[in-house]
Amino acid sequence: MTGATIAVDRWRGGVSPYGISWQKLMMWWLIITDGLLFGSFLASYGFNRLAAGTWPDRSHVFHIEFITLMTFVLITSSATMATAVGGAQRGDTKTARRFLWLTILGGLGFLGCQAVEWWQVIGAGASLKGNPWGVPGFSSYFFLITGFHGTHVLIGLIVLAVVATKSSRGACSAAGVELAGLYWHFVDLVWVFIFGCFYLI
Amino acid sequence: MTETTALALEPGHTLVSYRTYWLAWGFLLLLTIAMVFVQGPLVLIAGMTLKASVIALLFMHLGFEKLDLTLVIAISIVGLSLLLFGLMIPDGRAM
Repeated sequence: MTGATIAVDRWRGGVSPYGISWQKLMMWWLIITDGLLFGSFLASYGFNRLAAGTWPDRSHVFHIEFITLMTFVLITSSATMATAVGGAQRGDTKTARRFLWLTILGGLGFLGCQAVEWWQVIGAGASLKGNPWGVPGFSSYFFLITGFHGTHVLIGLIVLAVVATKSSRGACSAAGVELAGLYWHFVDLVWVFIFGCFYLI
Repeated sequence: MTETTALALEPGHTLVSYRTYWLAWGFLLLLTIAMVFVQGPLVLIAGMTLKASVIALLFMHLGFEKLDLTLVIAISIVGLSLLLFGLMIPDGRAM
């Protein structure tokens, strides 16, 4: 047995040790690093919230029912995205296209809700530097974390629009739809933690 | 399995049924509602972890990938996050 064969055996996957394309592997690396960025934001928020000793009552500032509705919209868009990927993998481009556009609709709905929420919070007098509820860090973290997430949603929407348009021309592979899907689910996954840490705890 | 399906999927990959996705969707919605009504950080953290696991394993297909990939991703994200929160949260509490 030559050295090369042994190396291949060790990897157990030859040129593709994880059994996926390099594009998908790179998307996963992006997701891991981006996930850690959000993790750092949330850990820093947790540190400051505990160190502040006091924190504004979330039910006084936010409309939790409205935020729950936003969360529903995002989760639903994740399910439509999964269906679009499933359609693309089955070679059913019609299903893939239809559900891609539904996903975009869901993403737009989420961003619209977020705009309304920001409008209300800014209208109440909150900014990056301070807010009427006492703890300045509260609104800094609110705008930083939800703003960063919203930017991710916006980038996801642009990617999805490109994929959906290419798919309409038959110029997008199932692997392309799957990559966009991975990113979109990640955006949903991050929101699970933002919703829990910022609005529920 | 048609030829198009075989071409569209990487070798050794599983097709997940639409039904599975929409069952996961229903479960996530119910869990979200339940989390709005419960109190206490520990229960909520458990709920968030469960939701994130469903999204990663089913929607992101992590449950159907090669175990090596699943472990690399899970260990890096979960391990580093635990380190991050484990170091910062007790410090915040101590201040």
